Amino acid sequence: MDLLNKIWEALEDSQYKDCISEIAERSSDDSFILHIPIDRVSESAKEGYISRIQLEKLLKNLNEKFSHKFDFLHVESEKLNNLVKGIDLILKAEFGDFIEDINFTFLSAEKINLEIYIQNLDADTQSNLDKFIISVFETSNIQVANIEWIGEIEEYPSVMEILIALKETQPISLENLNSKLRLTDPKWLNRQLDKLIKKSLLVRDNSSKQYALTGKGLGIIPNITNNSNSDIKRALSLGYRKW
Amino acid sequence: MQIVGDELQRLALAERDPINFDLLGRSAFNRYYYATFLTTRKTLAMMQSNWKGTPHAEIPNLLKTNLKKKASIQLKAQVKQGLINSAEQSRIQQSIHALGCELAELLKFAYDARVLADYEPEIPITRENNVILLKTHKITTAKEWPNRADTLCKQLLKHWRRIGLA
Repeated sequence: MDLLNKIWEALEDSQYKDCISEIAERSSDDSFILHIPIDRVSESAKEGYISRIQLEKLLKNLNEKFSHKFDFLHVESEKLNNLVKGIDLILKAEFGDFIEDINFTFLSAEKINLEIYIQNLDADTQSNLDKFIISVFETSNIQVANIEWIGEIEEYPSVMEILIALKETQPISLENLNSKLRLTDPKWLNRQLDKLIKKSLLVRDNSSKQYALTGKGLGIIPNITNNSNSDIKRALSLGYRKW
Repeated sequence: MQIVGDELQRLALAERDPINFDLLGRSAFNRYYYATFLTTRKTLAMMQSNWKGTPHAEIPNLLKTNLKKKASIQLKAQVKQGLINSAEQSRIQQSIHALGCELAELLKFAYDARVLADYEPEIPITRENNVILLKTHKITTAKEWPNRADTLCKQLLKHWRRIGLA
C-alpha cells in the first residue's frame, strides 16, 4: 500500500476524513498538503467540522506517525460562495447607492471578512449598513470578523494618533493640528483635546492658545523601533522648523 | 514584479512550443508569488523592524499569532490609560487578527503554487480555456495575489498606526 493510501486510512480512523477533499504530495519539501474546504472549518470543536486547534493536532499526529511534514490549505467552498452571491445581491439592492463593490473572504465556515468599496456614505448610513450586514450573516450563523470600509469617508484619528501628532509638532494651535491631521472641521478635534486635557495628558496655554503634551501624555506614547518612532518624527519636525 | 508576471503569462499563452510554454507559465506563478511576498515583507518591516527577515514559511504563522499578541499588549495598556474602552479594544484586536489570518492564508496558498512551480517540474503547466493552470492553481487567481496582499497590508498598517505602533 502506498503512503498516500496509508494516510487516508489513518484519517479514516480519525473523525476528520470528510473534512479533507484532497491530499497533495509535495515531494520537493517532503510534505503532504491537506486540502480542506473552508465550509468544513469551524471556530470550535463540532461534529462534521474541524477546528483550527483540532487541525493543528491532526497535523502533529500525522507528522509523528508518518515522519513527513504535513500542512494544510483552505480551499474555496461552492456552497459558501453561492451564499455570499445571494447576500451580495441583497446588500446591493438595499444599499446600492452607497456600495460600489464588496469582497467576501471566509476565515472558516462561521467567520467572514468583508471589504466594502463605498461612495457617498454618511456616518448614519454606514452604521445602518454595518448592523444590516451583521444581521444578514447572523441568520446563517456566520460571524462578521471584520469590515473594512474603502472609499471617500472621513476617518477620525485615534487618540494615540492625536497624541503622536502633538508630540511631533508641539506647541501647536488647534487649527494647525487640525490641518496636520487632515481634518475638515476643527470642532471635533477641539472636543477631543478638551477630553485629553481633563485626563491630564495635555495642556493648553491660554495666552498663545497652543497645546502641548504633559509628562503623562508623553509617557504613554509607545516607544517603537522603526523609522516611525515618535522621537525621530519629533527630531525631524524640529529640523524642518523655521526659528 | 507583478508586471513581469503579467508579461510571462502573456508570453506563455502566445507560445506554441510546449516546453517554452511550461517554463514561461511556471515562472509567471513564481513572480506573482514574489510580488505578494515582497509586499508583505515590506509591511512587516514597517510594523516591526526585526520581522523583515522572517523566513517565507514562517510568515503565515507570524501573521496569525504575533500581530495579535503585539497589538493586544498595546491595546490593553490603552484601556488601562483610559484612551479606549474595552469594546473598542476587542473590535481593533479582532480586525487585526482577521486581517492577519486572511493574509496568512493567501501567502500559504501562493507559497504552495510557488513551490510546485519552482521545484516540481514533473508537474506540468496546462491550459484550459486560455487560462494557465498548475495543478489546482489558476494563473487568473495568482494574478490577483499581489493586489490582494497590498490591500490587506494597507489595512493592517492603518490599524497599526491607529494604535501607535507604526
